[in-house]
Amino acid sequence: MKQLFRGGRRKVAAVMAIALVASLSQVAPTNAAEKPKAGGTLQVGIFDSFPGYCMADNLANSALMAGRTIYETWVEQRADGKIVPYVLSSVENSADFKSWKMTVRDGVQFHDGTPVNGDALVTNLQALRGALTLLGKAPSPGTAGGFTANIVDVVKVSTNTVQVNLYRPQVDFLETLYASGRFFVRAPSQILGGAKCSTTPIGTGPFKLVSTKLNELVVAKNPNYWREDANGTRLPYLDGITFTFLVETASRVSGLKSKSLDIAMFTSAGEVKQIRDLQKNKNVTVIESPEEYYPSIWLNNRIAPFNSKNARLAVSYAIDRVDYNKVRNRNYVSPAKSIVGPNNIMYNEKGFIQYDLKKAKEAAAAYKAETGKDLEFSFPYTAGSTESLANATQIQKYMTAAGIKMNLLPLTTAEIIQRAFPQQFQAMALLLMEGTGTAFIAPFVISDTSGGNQSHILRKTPRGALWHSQPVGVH
Amino acid sequence: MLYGILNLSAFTDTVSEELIWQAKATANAAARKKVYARATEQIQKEARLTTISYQKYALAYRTNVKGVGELGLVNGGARKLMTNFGIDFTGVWKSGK
Repeated sequence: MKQLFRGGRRKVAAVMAIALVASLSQVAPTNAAEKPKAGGTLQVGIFDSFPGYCMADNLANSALMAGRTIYETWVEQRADGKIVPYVLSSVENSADFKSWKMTVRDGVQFHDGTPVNGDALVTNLQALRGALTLLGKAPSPGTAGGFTANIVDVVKVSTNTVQVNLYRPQVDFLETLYASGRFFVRAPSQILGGAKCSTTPIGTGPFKLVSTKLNELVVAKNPNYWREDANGTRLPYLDGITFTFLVETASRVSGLKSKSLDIAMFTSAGEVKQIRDLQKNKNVTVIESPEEYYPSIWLNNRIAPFNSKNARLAVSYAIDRVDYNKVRNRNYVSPAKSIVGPNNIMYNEKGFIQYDLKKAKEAAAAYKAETGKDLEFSFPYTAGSTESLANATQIQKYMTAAGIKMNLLPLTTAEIIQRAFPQQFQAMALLLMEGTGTAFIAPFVISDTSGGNQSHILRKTPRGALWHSQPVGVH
Repeated sequence: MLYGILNLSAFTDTVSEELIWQAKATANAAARKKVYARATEQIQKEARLTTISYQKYALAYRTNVKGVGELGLVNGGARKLMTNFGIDFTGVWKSGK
C-alpha cells in the first residue's frame, strides 16, 4: 500500500497525531479585529427544494449546500482541487490503484450519539453500491449505484479501517468517494431506518435537523460537533439556519434588500441580471464559483433521429454558441469550446463541433439522403418557466436557420426527470457534468460504469428494482 | 443496463470508453490528462452530446454575515470558497447588528 498525501508508513502515526491536533485548531479569521461571535441565526434563500435525504434523494446545488450543514463527507476538496481526508483520517492505495484502505478519524460521532467507525463506513459504502438494497436492508441507492459500480467489495479490516477493492484501477477513486460533495457520511440508523431514511437526516455535521419539508430545512447547532476554532471554541458559531426554497429570483433579491434574508444563492442560468445588480449593492457581498459546471445538450444516440451521426452533427453545427451566450447569458460566462470547461482534466478543443451554418445545412441534407426524412426532433422545457422557454426558443431559432425542425415540448420538472434517465427524450438540456476531475464527468459519457465486470452484484438486477426517479445535480 | 443509466445520450463508444478507463489507471498526471483529452476528442468528433456555454453560481450575503471562507480544512488548506453547493457554514458567524 502507498500512503496517499504523506511520506510513508513510518510517518503515519506522527502525522495522524498532528492531524488530530490540527483538527482542533483550524480557524484563522483574516480580520483579527473581528472576533467571531457565537449565537444568532441566519435566513438563507435558495433555488432548489428538498426531495429527501436518503441515497437516491439527490439534493441539487443550493439544497445541497443546506444538506451539507447536517452532513459531512469522508473526504473533502481543497481549493486547489485535491481531494483530501476529512471524516477519514488517512487513505492508502495499492500500487496498482485497485485497493484503497481508509481509516476513520477518532472522536467523531453522529447526531444520534453513535460513533463514526469502520462499521459505519462499510454501511455507507454498501448502501451506495446497492449491496444493502439487494439484502432488503436499505432503500435504493439511486444513481449512486452507477457511480460506485467499479467497487468489487468493501471489507472491514479493523475497528476503524476499511478496504475497498476495485474492478478497474482508479487513480482518482477519492473523487468518486467525494462525488462532488454528495456522498455524505450518513448514520447507519438512518440508512437502515426504512422510510425514515428519506425524512430524517442524521450526519456528523456542525448542525442537526430541526425540521424539513419540500421547501424548507431548519437546522440547529450540533453541541457535540468535533471541530474547534483556533481559540478552542467549539464550532459552529451560529445557533441555527433556516434555508427556504424561493423559486422566484425576485423573492431572493427582495429578501436580501429588505433584510428578511441574510444570504441568497443564484445561478448564471437565467439570473445574471440579478447577480449583476447585487454586485453593485454596497450592503451585500457577492462571491462566485468558477465556471466549472457544464450544461449539456444530450442527443439520444439510441433512437432516431440522433442514432444518425449526420443528425448529431447538424444540430451541433447549427448552435451559435457565441450568440446564445450573449443573448441568454449576457456574456456572464463563456461559450463552450469543449464539452467540459478549461479547468477540467478532460478539456480538449479538438473535435468539438463549433457553429457553422453551412455545415449544419449540409449535415441535415446528408441526414435526409440517408433516411429519406427531414431532420426533426422534440425538445422538452419546463412548462411555466419563462427562462426555460426562452432558452429553448433561442435554440429553436438556430435549428430553424439550419432547416431543422425542433418541436418544443412543455413538461413539468417531474415529468422531465421521470423520462430523462430512462433515456426517453430525443434530445434534452441538462446540467450533469461538473468539476475539475472526472468523477462527475465519466459516468455520464460511458456505457458501463462497472468497467465490464460481468460478476458485479447489480449485473442481473433489473434497473427498475433499484432506480428512483431523482436525478443527480439537476436544477 | 444500470451501469449506463447516467449516460443520457445513451451511447456506447468503445474507443472513448477504453481511453477513459486507461486514463483512470495512469498514475502520471500529465500522461493521464493526455489520455483523457483523446477520449474527449473522440466523443466530440462523434457529436455524442454538445455544450453551448458553461455555468457558474453566485452567493450574496449581507454585511452582518462574517467568516465566509475563513475556516480551513481539518488537515490544513482552504476549501473552495464557492461552488454549486454554495459555501461551508461551519465557521460562519453573525455580527450583532
